[in-house]
Amino acid sequence: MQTVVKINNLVKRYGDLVALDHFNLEIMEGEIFGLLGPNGSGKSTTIHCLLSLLEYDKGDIKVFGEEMKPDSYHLKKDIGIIMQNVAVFDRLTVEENIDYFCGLYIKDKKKKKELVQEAIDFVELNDFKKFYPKKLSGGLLRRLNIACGIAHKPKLIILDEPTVAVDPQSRNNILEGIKRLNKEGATIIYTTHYMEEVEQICTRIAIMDKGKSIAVGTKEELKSMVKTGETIQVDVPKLMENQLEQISKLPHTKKLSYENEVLHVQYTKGKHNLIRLLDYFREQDIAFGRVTSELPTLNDVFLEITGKELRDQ
Amino acid sequence: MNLFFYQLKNILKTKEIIFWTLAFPLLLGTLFYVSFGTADTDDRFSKIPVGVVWNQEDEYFSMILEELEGELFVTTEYKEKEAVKALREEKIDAYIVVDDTVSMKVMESTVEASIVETFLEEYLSTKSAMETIFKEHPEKIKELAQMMASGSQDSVSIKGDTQDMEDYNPYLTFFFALVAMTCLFGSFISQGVISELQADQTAVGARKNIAPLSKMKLLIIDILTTWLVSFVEILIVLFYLVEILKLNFGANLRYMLILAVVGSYFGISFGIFVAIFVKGDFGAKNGFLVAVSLSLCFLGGLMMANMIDIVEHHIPILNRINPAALMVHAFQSLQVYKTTDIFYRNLFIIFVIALVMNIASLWILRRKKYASL
Ligand SMILES: Nc1ncnc2c1ncn2[C@@H]1O[C@H](COP(=O)(O)OP(=O)(O)O)[C@@H](O)[C@H]1O
Ligand SMILES: [Mg+2]
Repeated sequence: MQTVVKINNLVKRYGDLVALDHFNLEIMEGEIFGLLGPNGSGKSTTIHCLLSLLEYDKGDIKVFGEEMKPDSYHLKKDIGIIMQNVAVFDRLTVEENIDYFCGLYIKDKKKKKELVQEAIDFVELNDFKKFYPKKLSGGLLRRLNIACGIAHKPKLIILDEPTVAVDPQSRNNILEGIKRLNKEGATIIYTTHYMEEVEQICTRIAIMDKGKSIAVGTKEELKSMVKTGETIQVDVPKLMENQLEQISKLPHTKKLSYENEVLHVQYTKGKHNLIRLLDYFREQDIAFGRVTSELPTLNDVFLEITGKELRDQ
Repeated sequence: MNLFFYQLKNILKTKEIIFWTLAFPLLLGTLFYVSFGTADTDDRFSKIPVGVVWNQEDEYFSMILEELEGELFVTTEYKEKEAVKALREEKIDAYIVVDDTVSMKVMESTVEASIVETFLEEYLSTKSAMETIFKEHPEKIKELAQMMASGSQDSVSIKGDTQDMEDYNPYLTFFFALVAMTCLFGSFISQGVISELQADQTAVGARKNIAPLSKMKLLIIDILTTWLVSFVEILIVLFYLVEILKLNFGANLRYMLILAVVGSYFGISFGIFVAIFVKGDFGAKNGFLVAVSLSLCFLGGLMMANMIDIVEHHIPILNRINPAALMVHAFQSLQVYKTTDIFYRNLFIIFVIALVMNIASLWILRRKKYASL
């Protein structure tokens, strides 16, 4: 499989602030690669350097096996980019915008016309073709932004936080769209600070913090890096002190708490924890209600490596 | 080609831009017109102070001058040296030297000097015929003198059909300056468009920067579209002033076209230059453009018709390079002097300044990466 993007020891400073600190990245053809990190971790900076928009202090960047430079037009023509900020002309209609940006890539008129229509179909903006961007809701505007970036059918598509401030319906439309683009053969780079999104669509993930890549792998690989196993939560009306004590002695139990009639048990890795817990309840004749079991999230991974929460709230 | 039309639409639909670059000049022109377009013009010709150096007697010429004393001229007799001094101190607009023939000397080409000049031409060309008449009918001297005087005034005045007798109206300076302002305001158009080519200014700019197209190509499209829009706007303003308000610009269609081409080129080059060289966000750059454009127009006579003269006394170099002053002067030259030399020279200077700015802008824009977005 071909390497599509390779970034080596990239360093980017804004004055005294080191935005990228010897950052490395390798992306293979056909991946949906997630770049996950909190706000300010350097995701957009990485993308801008990758596209030769930004000067950087050190490192090298290869795209499709070649060094990327501002005038690498033969590389640029196969890249599609959806920036964090919506980049469309307010004074052109939806259709004209897509046509304009597609026209920067495609000279053949007939082909361009087809591609523009395909892009409109793809983001389901057929009813809004003649609308001006100001008249579109946030979600529709994001979809237009995406259409402008992908109309020319690029081999590498980069999306920088495309779902910020988007309603759930548009968000789903966008995520499903990305999967479809990937099925049609495009390699995807997807940056976000929402771990649910990466878990939902990405085949491989790099977790970023403070300009560094702190962990790379599939989501399973990443999760296996942490010591935490599943967390089980049970509604239990009544529990004795000694029963709590005994539960904490069950195998693999790491931590437990009992508050407001809800029992939380966190396990280290290991199997059959839930069955063992429920067996114990039956044995002791303990009445219980709803039971949920959660596997570790990427947030747990982030928490373990950095000691802080991924979520910015 | 498509990119060209989309860019045109993009510009034409920017209401603020169209307001400031087209509607505003039209409004201001109307306002000027209402407030002094019809102003009384009686005192337009004050008597011209002229020095006379008599190196030789000339009965006929001295009688002519006598007749016109206090009508067209106020004459003072000088020795040649004194005359030079008086001219330098601007006590007189010109002095006439009478020897075998009559000739004149001036410091600079002003309206007054040109009246004296035409008067002398008139005098010389009709001298022999007139002298004969004079010898036979000395009582006709008054008539003859009046003829020469009015002839010289006429020829300096506008060759309009209904306003034959109108002379150079200093208020026209306001309208010339207004046209210059329209040209300079063209910079707003190109500044906006260029910001959409700069990755560190707009998101659209970033998107254009990652397209597989050279920036040069995109920049050329931007130059052509903004130039076209600005050019048409200037023509509209000129048309409005000349055809609707019936102001006598003394310029025929050809000169107006030339002025609109060069003026709009200057305006947009200026806007591009500021967009690229002035640091700051869109608003800062725009503010800079407004301030500089208005200052240049002010110095070119937008608020005070004699501003150019004042500048000429204090910082003459400014009049040589201020595009607004150059344009106003170009118009005046068409109106007042019979040659187009000054017109072409001034427009050429404007064009060269614009070209220099343009090349500098292109050079910098080629710098391909940004330090920060
Ligand atoms: N133009 C800039 N000037 C100075 N600092 C910047 C600039 N852009 C980004 N930064 C800083 O660089 C770091 C990385 O920013 P960014 O790449 O935008 O992060 P992300 O996209 O992950 O939110 C942040 O600390 C941010 O404040
Ligand atoms: Mg970002």
